[in-house]
Amino acid sequence: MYICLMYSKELLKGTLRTVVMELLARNEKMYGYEITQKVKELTNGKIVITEGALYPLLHKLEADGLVSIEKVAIGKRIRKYYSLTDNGSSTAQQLVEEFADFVATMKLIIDPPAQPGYGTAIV
Amino acid sequence: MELLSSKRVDLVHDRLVDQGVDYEPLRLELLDHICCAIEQKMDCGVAFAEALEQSIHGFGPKGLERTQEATIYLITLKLRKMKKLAAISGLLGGFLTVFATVFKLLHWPGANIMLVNGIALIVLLFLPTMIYVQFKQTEGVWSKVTTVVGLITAIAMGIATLFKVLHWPGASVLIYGSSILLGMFFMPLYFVRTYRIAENKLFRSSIVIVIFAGIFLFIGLTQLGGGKIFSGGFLAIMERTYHMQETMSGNNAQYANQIDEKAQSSSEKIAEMRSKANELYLHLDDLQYQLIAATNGISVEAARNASPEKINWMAGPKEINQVLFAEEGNWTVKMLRQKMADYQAFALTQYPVANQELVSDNLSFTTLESWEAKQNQSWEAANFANRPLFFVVSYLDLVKTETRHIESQVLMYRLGQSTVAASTASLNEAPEIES
Repeated sequence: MYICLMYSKELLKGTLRTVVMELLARNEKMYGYEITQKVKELTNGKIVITEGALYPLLHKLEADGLVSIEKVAIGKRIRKYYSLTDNGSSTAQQLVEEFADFVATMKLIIDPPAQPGYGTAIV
Repeated sequence: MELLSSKRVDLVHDRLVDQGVDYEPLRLELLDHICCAIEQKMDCGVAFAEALEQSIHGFGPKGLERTQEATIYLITLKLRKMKKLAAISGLLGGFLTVFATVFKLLHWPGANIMLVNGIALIVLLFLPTMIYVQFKQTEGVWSKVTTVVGLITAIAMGIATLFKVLHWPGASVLIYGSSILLGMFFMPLYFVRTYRIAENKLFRSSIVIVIFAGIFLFIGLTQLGGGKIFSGGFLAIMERTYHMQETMSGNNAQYANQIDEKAQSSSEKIAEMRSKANELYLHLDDLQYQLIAATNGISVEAARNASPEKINWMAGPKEINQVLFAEEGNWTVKMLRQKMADYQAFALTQYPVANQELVSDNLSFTTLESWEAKQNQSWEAANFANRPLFFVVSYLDLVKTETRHIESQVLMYRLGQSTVAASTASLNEAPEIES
């Protein structure tokens, strides 16, 4: 699903939804190509979203009523802008909070805080 | 950044069509995406043709096709789940309803439980999911109209069936109403709309099964068509039988008169025989009306006055069993058997003792002892237990005819006797010519 230079597929699986919805929450409206470029830019090219993963997700979000669309003609092309609906905004917030909590929890495992009392004599 | 010329946009579009991206909302979006990517590459000095190839290859082998597959899979996920639910509940509910109807017609146990479950599956699961699927799957005014008509028809059918099964009033109005909806509005609309959609055979076959279940139920429970032909024939036979009994009764009266003319001495015995026959005949007649009244839930008086077409001849056997197999009372089978046996015994006493054995076969009801011996089954169980109204009433008609027949036998014998006696007497009275 991802072409990613830095992270394993397993690690990123399940975060695409969070990434896309958070980007839409920060920007009023975005189109597909813009989202891929924005992610590349924000992560210094460490995360690259592929079209093969992005577009199915966007269509699914549309079918679930989490995003609304706006079509703009660019010459002969039609550009489809996505923006979050009210429902989508609260879902985006939940996803981000959940992920932040997950990162904090992971940190407890990787980098446990020093606990006084263990192995040190208090004089 | 310079925008691609419309000619080049067309080239990219053709390429997407070649790659098999035929889902239009996605194709138009990918067109914009690839054009953006090409423009960026061309800004960096890459030629159009190469930029196009790079962008297409960026999707990986068969990447465009896979993107389309993934998109369609995700957006139809819920629909497919609903379709599966509709198919399973429809097939299950439909089959349950069909089996329940067969069970009900054959009076096997468990029919009502199956029927209520089958209808519940159809009304509570199949219909809502199917309406959802239909609404999601179809576009256009006529398809929506078909769906709404289908919903109304199906609800009417479900309610009508429940009313019929639970014997609530108004069931027939609902049945006719929903039949008209089904046959004249929904079926034509539905078949015209869906004939062209050839996908998902399981789903479509479930609809056909449910429709068949509905039609099956209507015919089975209301006896439309077949029931009328049956009751018409039954009533014609009843009428002929009645005429036959009347003719026999008239003939018997004539025999009695002839006997009276020939030999006054035996008239008392003849009158007794006639009154015994009438007594049994009237008992049988009363019993028939008792049963009609009990099964149709009307008074005996109303049963006598009711037109035969208005009587439900398929009614019973519960009420019939209650009357005929009661502990005691005038209308039990036990009482009937007693009366028949008494009548038979009395008829036999009309013959000289020496002749009784010879005639006893002619004077017995063909159905009492001889029947039991042949069938290895009691007369009561075979002819009265768990039988519907038309069966018992026809059988009692047969007994009525046999009552008249036995009366005829006795009277004809007496007539023969008195004729012989009269001619013997006249011979005796004749003057002796020779000494």
